[in-house]
Amino acid sequence: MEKTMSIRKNELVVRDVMLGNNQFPIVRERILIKETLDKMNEFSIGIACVVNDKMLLKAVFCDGDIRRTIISNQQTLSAFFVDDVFDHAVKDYKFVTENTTLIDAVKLMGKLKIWDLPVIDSNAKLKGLLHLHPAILSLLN
Amino acid sequence: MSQPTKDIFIGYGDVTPIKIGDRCPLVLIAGPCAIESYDHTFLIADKLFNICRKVGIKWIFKSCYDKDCRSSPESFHGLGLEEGLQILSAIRKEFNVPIVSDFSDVAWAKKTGEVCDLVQVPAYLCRQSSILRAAAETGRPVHLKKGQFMSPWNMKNSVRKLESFGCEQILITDRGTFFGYNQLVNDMTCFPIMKKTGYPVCFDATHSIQLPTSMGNVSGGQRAFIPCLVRSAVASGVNALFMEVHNDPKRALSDPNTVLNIKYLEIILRQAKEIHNLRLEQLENYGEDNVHTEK
Repeated sequence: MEKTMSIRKNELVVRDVMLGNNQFPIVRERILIKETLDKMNEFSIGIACVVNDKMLLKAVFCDGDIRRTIISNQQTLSAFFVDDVFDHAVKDYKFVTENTTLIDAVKLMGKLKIWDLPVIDSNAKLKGLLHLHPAILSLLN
Repeated sequence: MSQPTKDIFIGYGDVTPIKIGDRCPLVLIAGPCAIESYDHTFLIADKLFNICRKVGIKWIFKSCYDKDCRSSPESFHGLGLEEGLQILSAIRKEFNVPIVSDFSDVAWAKKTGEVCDLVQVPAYLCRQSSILRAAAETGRPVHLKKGQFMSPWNMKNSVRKLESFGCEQILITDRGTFFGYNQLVNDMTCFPIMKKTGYPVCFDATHSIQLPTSMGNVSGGQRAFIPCLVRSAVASGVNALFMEVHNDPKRALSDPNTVLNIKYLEIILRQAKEIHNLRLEQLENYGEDNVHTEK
């Protein structure tokens, strides 16, 4: 019985637990930082995926980027709020695909010390978001 | 911080369009603050024509038909929409020069746009949606002046409004920022900040030295600082200069304490042009400013 469960957990892939595109913040490149933060607060998720009009993932913007930018740029908050999110977002983002095994994805998150990974296809089209909590819960249950 | 902006083109019909942009020659926008009379407007335009030809700088003639933001109810407002636009139109035809006037009332926008090559949104009204919509709907490029109460980064909101109303040709101008009461200050970092909107920027030298309503019912000014501020702004990367000029500032019917005596214009323009050309040369040799903060 334990062996069967173990095999099933090994077979879990990102697609099985990822959040759909209506369940996490997605913003366009020229959206303001303030509007992006509102979106992140709305979903209570610390990452926003920055896409173009074809839903191709161009960058990601996360809580860490906010912290680092506040320290490094030393802009007033009012100036930071009206910057385009794309200007502060990470363009060489890490990602997984829908067929990545959940265990590999969680290991990658641990290695990178991150809580969220965008899920894209071979054309960089955004398919979803892997959030750490549901991923861990799926592996625990 | 610094990034290329789009080029904008001022001029329609018979008037040869003037290009304003990052790798373009410096452009002057100048004229008397208010249209005082037909003869006076022509006198100033003629002087500008000759000075700009001597210096080798392209120019846009600026004057307003109705100054709606004067400090006192007794102050001269202008000749009004109809007569003012007729005079501007005559200047345009005579000198083959693009013209600009501001408008302070939505009802004036359409007629202003029918005549002017560039329509100007006054600084005090720079965030009024109705004014911005009216400006955009003229179909002309829009000269958007930064309110003295606005941060340079917040001008992006006004730009976004103009874009949402269909305008894609915008020139953003700094005319100083309130520094306490009755005083302005110029922050040269406003130029790269406003350029982040993607549009060229301009420096209004004569309003920047204004001491707003510092003399009870009129504004004062410190004209001595005009050359210094012009040099600073041009070195900081502006694409155009804005200056209100007069042959006899003491007797100017509008802004007598800030308009530049036109006899000083040539030397200021020569310096500005030299600095601008040096900056273009440096851009060519060293590229855009590339100092970034590290995360």
